[in-house]
Amino acid sequence: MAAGLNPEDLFDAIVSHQAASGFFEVVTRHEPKAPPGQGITAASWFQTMRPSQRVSGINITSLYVELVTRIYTNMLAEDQDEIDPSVLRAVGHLFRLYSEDFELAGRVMYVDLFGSHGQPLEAKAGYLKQGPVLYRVVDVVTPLIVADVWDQVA
Amino acid sequence: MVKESGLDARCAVDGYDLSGDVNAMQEISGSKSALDMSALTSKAIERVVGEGGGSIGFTSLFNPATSRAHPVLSALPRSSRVITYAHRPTIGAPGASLDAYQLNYDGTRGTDAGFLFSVSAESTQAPLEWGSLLTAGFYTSTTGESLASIHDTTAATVYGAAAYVHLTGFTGSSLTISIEHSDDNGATDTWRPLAGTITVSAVGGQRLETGPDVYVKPYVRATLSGTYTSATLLVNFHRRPERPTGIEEISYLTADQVLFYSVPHVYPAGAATGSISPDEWQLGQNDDPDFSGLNGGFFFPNGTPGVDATYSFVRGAGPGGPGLNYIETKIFGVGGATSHASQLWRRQAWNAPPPQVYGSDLPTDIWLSSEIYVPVELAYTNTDGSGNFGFTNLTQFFGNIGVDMHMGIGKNSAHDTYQRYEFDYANSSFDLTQVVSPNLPAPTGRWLRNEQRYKQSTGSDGRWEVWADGIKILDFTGQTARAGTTELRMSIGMYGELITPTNPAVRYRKVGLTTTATQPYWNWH
Repeated sequence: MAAGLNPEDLFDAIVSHQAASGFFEVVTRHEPKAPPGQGITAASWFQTMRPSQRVSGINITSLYVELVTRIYTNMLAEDQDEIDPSVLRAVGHLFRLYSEDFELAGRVMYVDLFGSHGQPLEAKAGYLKQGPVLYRVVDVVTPLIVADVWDQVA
Repeated sequence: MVKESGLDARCAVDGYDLSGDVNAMQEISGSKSALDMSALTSKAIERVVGEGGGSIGFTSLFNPATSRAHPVLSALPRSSRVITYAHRPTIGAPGASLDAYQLNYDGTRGTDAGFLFSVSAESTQAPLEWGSLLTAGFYTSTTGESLASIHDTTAATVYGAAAYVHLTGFTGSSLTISIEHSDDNGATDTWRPLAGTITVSAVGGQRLETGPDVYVKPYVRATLSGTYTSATLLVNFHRRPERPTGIEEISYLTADQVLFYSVPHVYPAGAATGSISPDEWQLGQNDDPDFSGLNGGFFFPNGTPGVDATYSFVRGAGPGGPGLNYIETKIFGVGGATSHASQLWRRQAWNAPPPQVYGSDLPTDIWLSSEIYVPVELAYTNTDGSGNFGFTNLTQFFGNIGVDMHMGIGKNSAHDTYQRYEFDYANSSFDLTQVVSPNLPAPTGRWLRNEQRYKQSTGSDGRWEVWADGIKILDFTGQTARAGTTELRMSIGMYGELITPTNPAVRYRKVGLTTTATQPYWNWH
């Protein structure tokens, strides 16, 4: 019954949506070590994992997995009036995809849109200086619920 | 003792494994009511324990797949369901089972999109029963086999048992599940079925139980047989620690099916030890030696009542509370003494014209059942005509002409105490092959249940069937009566020429004459 954990699948699901959206110049599966390039960059990494009380059975463990996607854009880029709308557009597109495909093509039980496990799908904007460049960044927290990952064995 | 968490548990509902869908057990509850019996003189509240009950409640996830939570639980049947919570998927792990009505299937879809259902179930007629698993969780068997045993007590218990079976997957035509027990894990005491067996052929759950006073040995296991290539099942076994209240083992028979029943569970109020209602047994020395009437008698062929042989009505006692009452028959004598008997007789008319002592014609198809307790091994010289065994008659069941079916118990140099059933033709004028059961073990110090069916016929469709401890051990079809038979005679008690011990005693209880079987002793529902 237990399907096991397949991290590649989870990243594939997230990254492929980002890549297919057309909003991002660069899409990575790691936090950039050097300042990202021009345009909008999306970098995703794993943030939190814990067994889910809520959707585990009494003999099987389901998981709560939280991935974070950080969206970067140079905050000194022109047109400055267009920075936040473009970022918001990209984030909104991701939200739309997670809503319209909350099972990520069958890879997860659901994207926890409303935070049934506490953390809803959420985007928070801020500023980050990476190297010499100041970036407008948005952290998109994507909580994923993965059902029936491992059997419990005494 | 190691403390354990509730991880790796199992939950079965009516033959469906819902472990992966059940998210939490909200309640696994066994309860008793406390009845206030305080009197004016009481200095504090006095209580007695009343009826028991149980309830199980759990939360399930929404799973609409076949055989998973939603189709199983949303059915909300009006009939009862068997629900088992198993602590771990290992043989011997604790499990709690309940035969219950599922009362609800209440879904909540919260604003956070969680979709959970709560289910509660209340017991039908048996309380919550904690037991031990006889299977390693949901165990898949592909061929007939005996599973590993459990050893859940050091000493045998005497209050019966209950078992719960969940068959969750099955490919084949039939599966027979037998709960077996042994004193020493089969080393010298052969595994025997605890009582009857159950044959199943489809996914489902069942509860079964023995009568309230069945002897259960310390080792118990499940043995599977039948025609199948795959059977997945979970079995939970509950050993009763004390006698359930309010259960009469023939109470499920209707009044007109019970012709006679002696030694009730409840000691008659005010009755003195030694008294037996004349409505039950006719007493007295050679009370009616030529059987000219239709009553019975306490029969002493050689000796004086109260001196050479006695009977007494004894208030039963047992661990955990009052036991059943019983009749004790006793012979005073030493080995080699003249043959004595201490038999209680009862006679009923059979196709006889009125007047009849007990009011109605005896049917020609009847069951005689009793429980016999032999405290120590008995050795008698033979009295039953078979010639070779130290054997005392313990029950007899026969017509006034021609046939005699009896059960004896005894030992000789080659046997420990054993029991045997014989269809004897000592008085017969027709020539039939004598029917003899195998020699069966007859352990001392516990109650042995026996039941015989006698279908009277002068033709070829007569029948004599015998069950020992719930297991059928003899089945004879043929002529069982001689033309002109008018009476049934029935006796309990010893009759024989004593070898050992001095002053032997044998106890009887639950002596019944019924028009239908009190077997099978397992009551499946």
